[in-house]
Amino acid sequence: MIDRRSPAHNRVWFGLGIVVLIGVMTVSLMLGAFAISPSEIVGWISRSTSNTPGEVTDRVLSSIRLPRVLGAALLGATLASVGAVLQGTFRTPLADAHLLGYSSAAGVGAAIGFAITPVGGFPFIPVFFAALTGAMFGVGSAALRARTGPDRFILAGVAFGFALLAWTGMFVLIIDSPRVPTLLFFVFGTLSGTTWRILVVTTIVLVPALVMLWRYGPGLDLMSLGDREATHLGFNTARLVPTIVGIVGVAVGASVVLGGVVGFVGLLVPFVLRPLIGPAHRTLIPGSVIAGAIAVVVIDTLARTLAAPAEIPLGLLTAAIGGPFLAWMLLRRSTT
Amino acid sequence: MKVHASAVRFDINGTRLVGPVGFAADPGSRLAIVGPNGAGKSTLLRLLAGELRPTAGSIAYDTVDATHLSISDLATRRAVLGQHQAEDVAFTVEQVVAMGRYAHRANPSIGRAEHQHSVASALDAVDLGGLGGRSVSSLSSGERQRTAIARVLAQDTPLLLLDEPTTALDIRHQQMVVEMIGALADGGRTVVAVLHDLNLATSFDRVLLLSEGTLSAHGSAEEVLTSTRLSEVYQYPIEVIDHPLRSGRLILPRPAT
Repeated sequence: MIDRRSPAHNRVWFGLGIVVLIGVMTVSLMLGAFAISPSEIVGWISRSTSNTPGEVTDRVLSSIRLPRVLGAALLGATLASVGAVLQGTFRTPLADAHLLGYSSAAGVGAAIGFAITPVGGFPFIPVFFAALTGAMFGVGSAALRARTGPDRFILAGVAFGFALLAWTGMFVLIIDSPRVPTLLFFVFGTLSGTTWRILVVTTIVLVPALVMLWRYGPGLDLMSLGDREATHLGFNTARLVPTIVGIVGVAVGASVVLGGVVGFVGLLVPFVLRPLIGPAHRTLIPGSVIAGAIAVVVIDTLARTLAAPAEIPLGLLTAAIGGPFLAWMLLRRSTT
Repeated sequence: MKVHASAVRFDINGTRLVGPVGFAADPGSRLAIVGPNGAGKSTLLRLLAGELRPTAGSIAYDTVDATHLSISDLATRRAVLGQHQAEDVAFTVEQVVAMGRYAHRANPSIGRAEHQHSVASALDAVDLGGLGGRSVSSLSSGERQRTAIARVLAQDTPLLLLDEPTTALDIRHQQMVVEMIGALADGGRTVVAVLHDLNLATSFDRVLLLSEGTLSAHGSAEEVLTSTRLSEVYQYPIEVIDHPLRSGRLILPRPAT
């Protein structure tokens, strides 16, 4: 069993991934309530670069479809890479922002933040509150992990997640404000409300957060040997694990403002990638960024088009596709 | 680097696990820590590693108190081989051994070639040169143990703390590890190893016999590993005989019948 995950081998995967990502994003721009042809997209690009007056399709592309497709890519990139980071930190392939309750915790902050933000403004307050509650939950979960085994830790996360989701739901229903997204947004997530303003604010938070997590890659690799071994090798787990999961909480917070609570992407994407590009986080995190973006762009395109003109909540589709797929992969792996 | 334990005591919830013990290991020397199960050997090793803080007394590396060193400073001064190696590691043997270089990555004067050389020579030292690309989860427990030893070697520290380094190794690789420890000491490193096989301890410069957390004896192998003392500490009749074929001694249990 010779390792094929050489740097050259991985460069091929990354190149292929970027090509596929650009491809699915282009196709996603073309599909929707009405189809837009490739020539119209080319026309839109040339008109917007030359400041020529636009057509109806241009408005749809630039103010509706483009932010949504970019939002889907950003959401997928975030969910998949924080999944990879949490799995490395907690040394289990079952760690995930959704499963461990991070998303629900961020949902509480997001709901409160939305309630006190004027409609149409830049969503700094929801992102701040969601990042804060996400980070607090993350740091708390790191403390909990230090004291319990992995099984109890995951179940505790699931239990907390349900409770926090329920509290968010009650808050959303009681406050009944047009400023706050619907209950569906917090339970299943959707990108139907993505605007340039949301995209700008979440990008400002997410890009530095993901870069910081990537920088911790070699330390996360050490964690696979165990906390004690990682510490022996010079990685200060007692200090850096809370830092890392705090950053994860901030990223999850921004992602919840972007697309609500969406599960399974963070579990599935790293699970599929590890056998292809290896477990090293300096590779796995950027790989998850690309593959997560591809996955969510594809799934969100399906969410917009499968039942058009109705829209399927994004998280409903990720669970419908991801749940059985993950179960199949786990069962298949345990028999070999 | 000299490691010096003075009047070290370690209590947990009011129960004395270690101490008080005092001893020193000089640069270029090999110190074996032996004793029955639960005597406090691994706890003492963790204290020496700066991983546990003594309840009283101190551990010094040369003149520096180990508890005053940061995690990364510790990692450039001492390497630790733990008692158990994680099994479900998806990384390759070479990647795991390269993790030993982590603390040196912050040092800009060490180039890529030097890191690679350390990893390659560590793999060769434990006879794993051909398995570098294998995933650790596919290894036998002995190969996994050798991977961990190679990782410790790649860390390239003046002090090595090894908890049962020959666990799970076949007789040839046990001897390779014993010879490797000798070569490390000859090169000026300080090696402290917890050992269960008393016959391996006979080749060490100094032996520290622990019993219920305290020093039962400390000195050369001849002084410490005697029939009377071992029988008393292990509470089982143990014979120490001269080797029939060469110099040196053999330590054997004397069956009850």
